[in-house]
Amino acid sequence: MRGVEPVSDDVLRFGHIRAKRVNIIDENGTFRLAIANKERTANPIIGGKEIVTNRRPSAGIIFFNEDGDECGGLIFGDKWAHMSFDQYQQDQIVAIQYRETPLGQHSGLTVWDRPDRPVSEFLEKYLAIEAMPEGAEKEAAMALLRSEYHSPVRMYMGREADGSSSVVLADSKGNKRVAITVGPDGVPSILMFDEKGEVVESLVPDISYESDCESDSSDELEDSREVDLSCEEVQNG
Amino acid sequence: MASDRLTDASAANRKTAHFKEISVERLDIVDDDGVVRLAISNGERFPNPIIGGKEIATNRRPSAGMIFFNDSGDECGGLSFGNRHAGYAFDRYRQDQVVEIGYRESEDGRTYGFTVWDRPEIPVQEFVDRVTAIRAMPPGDERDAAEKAFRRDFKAPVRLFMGRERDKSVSVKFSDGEGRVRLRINVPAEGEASVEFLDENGTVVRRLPPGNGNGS
Repeated sequence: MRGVEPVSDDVLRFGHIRAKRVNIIDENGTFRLAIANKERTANPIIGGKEIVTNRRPSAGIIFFNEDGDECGGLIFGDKWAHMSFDQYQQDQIVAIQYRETPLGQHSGLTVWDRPDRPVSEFLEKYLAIEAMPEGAEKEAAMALLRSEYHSPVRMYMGREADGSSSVVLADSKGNKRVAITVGPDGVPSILMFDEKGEVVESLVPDISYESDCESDSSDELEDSREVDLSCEEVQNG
Repeated sequence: MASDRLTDASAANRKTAHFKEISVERLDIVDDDGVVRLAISNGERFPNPIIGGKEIATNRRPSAGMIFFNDSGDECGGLSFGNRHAGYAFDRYRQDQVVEIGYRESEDGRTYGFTVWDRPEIPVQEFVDRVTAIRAMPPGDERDAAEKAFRRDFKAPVRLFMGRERDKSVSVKFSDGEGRVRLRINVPAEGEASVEFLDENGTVVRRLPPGNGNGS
């Protein structure tokens, strides 16, 4: 084969390799890393089992830990890109990402809390509940499950979809407690909130502001994978 | 290695091998002269750091991932991961990491986020040489003085951390050149959020909201 030369017993040198997928494997054959095009993206492996998901296939690199479970990845498409690491036996806990949404683009660093229970357990329970007949019982079971496996965003640093840049910190329930922001209009502010979302401290230039965030669940720092992060907590008064 | 899945690499005059899928234990990107610029590897074949052109034997945990090498062929960053740790970092030239996104978990809990370090001007090779020299010295005043000077010359303080801490709080911490936290924004899992300014002794000199808090 032209352009290929052996370097040693088990090392080959190529001028250029072009592949649809390249796997890095352990000596025992376990996948540790898979670089792939969109069509050949690796499915998640959790608890040693391959999970068929509806996640959007995308070109990039998927990482697998010593157990062979997916533990993060670096993936990218037209209007988004993402690199993340997962908590052991759980989902992503730290990511840098960029995404265009109909509301605007956001790009930054996100930190999540994840439960101390394996995500495989969640999946099993989720599938069992999915199989239940429709009704109040099913809805209650699903709500309970979601509360047990609540995975709030604890921190976001970056550009928000509304054009502001901010550092936002949240408590373990996902309630926003500190927001340092330069708004789309260029106005800076540091706001602190209590657990109900009431502003308890504000450090702002000498113009009037008011809080627009109600003390309900909409105050929760949302998961940027699916939703727009911006809560318009600062309005130029 | 490249086996029966090789599709059309043998086609005449091609310098590019085409595969549908290949599985290897290590893949290197090399310069024309053979210097490795990027190594993607499993744990067993993970490369040792190369600093000042010399391979350094370390006790770092073998871990699957990718290692980057600069124009001089020295390690300059990488991406590695395992069951309870992961990191993506870039190194200062001839030094160690200066910016990282990482995750570490131990029995004390887990911490993850974004970290920025200061690194000395002195190449890390000199660091290795100095440590070796000090270890060879007999105990005594001379050795103590050498250790003190060493710590002064090679301090590599964390200057910025933002992320989740082992106590389940999230924080942004800015530190001075000695690694002392001087500004700390903290939100515990439950309880009051705070912004604290600290002096060089670690005493809180200003706090939002006002009150003694408990952070110093």
